[in-house]
Amino acid sequence: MTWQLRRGKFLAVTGASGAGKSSLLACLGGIVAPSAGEFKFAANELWELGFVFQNFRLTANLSVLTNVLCGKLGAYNWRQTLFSFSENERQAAFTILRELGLEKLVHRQVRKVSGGEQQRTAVARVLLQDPPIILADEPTSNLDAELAKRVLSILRDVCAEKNRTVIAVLHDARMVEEFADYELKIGADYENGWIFRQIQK
Amino acid sequence: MNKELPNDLKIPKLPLRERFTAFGASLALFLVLVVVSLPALEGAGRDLDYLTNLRRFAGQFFPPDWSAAPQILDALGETVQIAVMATFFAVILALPLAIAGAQNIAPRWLNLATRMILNAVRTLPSLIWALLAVAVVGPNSLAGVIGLTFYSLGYLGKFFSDAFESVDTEISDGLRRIGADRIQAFQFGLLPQVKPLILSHALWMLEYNIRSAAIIGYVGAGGIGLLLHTFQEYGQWQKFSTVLLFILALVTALDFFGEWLRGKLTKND
Repeated sequence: MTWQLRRGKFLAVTGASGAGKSSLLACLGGIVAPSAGEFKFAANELWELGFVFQNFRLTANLSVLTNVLCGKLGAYNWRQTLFSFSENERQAAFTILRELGLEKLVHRQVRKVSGGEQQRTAVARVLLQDPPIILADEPTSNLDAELAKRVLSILRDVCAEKNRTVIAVLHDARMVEEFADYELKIGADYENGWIFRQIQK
Repeated sequence: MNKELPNDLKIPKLPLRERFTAFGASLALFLVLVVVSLPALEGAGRDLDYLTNLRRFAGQFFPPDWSAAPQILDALGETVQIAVMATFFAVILALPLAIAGAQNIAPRWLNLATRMILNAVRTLPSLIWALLAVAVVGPNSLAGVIGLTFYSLGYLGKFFSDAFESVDTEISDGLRRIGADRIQAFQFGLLPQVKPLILSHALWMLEYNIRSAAIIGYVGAGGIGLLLHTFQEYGQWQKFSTVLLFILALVTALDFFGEWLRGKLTKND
């Protein structure tokens, strides 16, 4: 497949289960090497990436707040994070958690909160990290419609206001229409196996 | 009822090879070992009256002589101190060794070297370690601490290593991808998952060391074992049995306390 995505845009990747959406994201994230072809990020630079993993990859025995703060580990070296995070970062993390409705769970261990709450914790972590490119594998799969909308509209705002790029695997066609700028459909039904289209607002 | 279902509707048959599980194989192997090991039951081969022997020996234990209680309590306290210090040093020494021995953290050559050291340390029983320590620092409680430290190190090093390896590295890998360095990924991705296991193993080791500390006194390494040995040498079996009762009480109390604490650890941590 061949397509280009401008900075600051929200791309939704859709398609049936097993079509290769997650594999595409894994390639873009450098987790697996593509078996053929290549991709480049702007100016061929090594951009900082952020992830919302399909299985979250949160540390179950740490609190929700600490897991979110882990998004900022890259901004400090280990000596600076050995004992605690700065008050600014903690406050920023709490603000994000409040936006996602998790303010009552900040000190709760991740393994004691529900799947949907864990998923929002994973989203909060990437929002605190605030990387130029966010790769999100089904970031709303465990959320009800209302929460899913809230998460997607936050991601949408991050694109528009902070010029961040979001590439997210999504399932719900209405959500794609409402929040994404572009849609990449993958599947054997399409010519060449894929379609890249701009979403008309 | 008897009508044959078409094949695609029937539950698929598990192939014979997959039915032969590791569990079944181990069980079969163990049964073979039991049969092969039967000669161990042969004994002296002479016609001894086991029951009379036992009655004569055990009879000397009664009634227990409680006059030795203050002396025993003193020695018991020393035993606990030996065990606590040994466990403390062993945990501190075992952690770096365990990290070096964990295949998902350290390079392969370091794993092999560390595992070899730990295996060598584990080869010697606690009594032999205590004997060595007594030869070096003399017959006192320090020898007990040194002996048990080495002995525990062999076990805790292995247990901690296994604990580190049992943790999913997907989480720490994920942290690496979002910018964490190796130490941060370890601190936030691996260690929190391993901590409850480490605590639980350390607690087990403490219990075990208190039990062992009772024995190593036999070779001069301080604590209750020393007293046990003395009473045996002088044939004071009634005091000897009192010591055994005290050890039993301590071990039982420890067992309850350990169970209670372990429950707390796994629940809240």
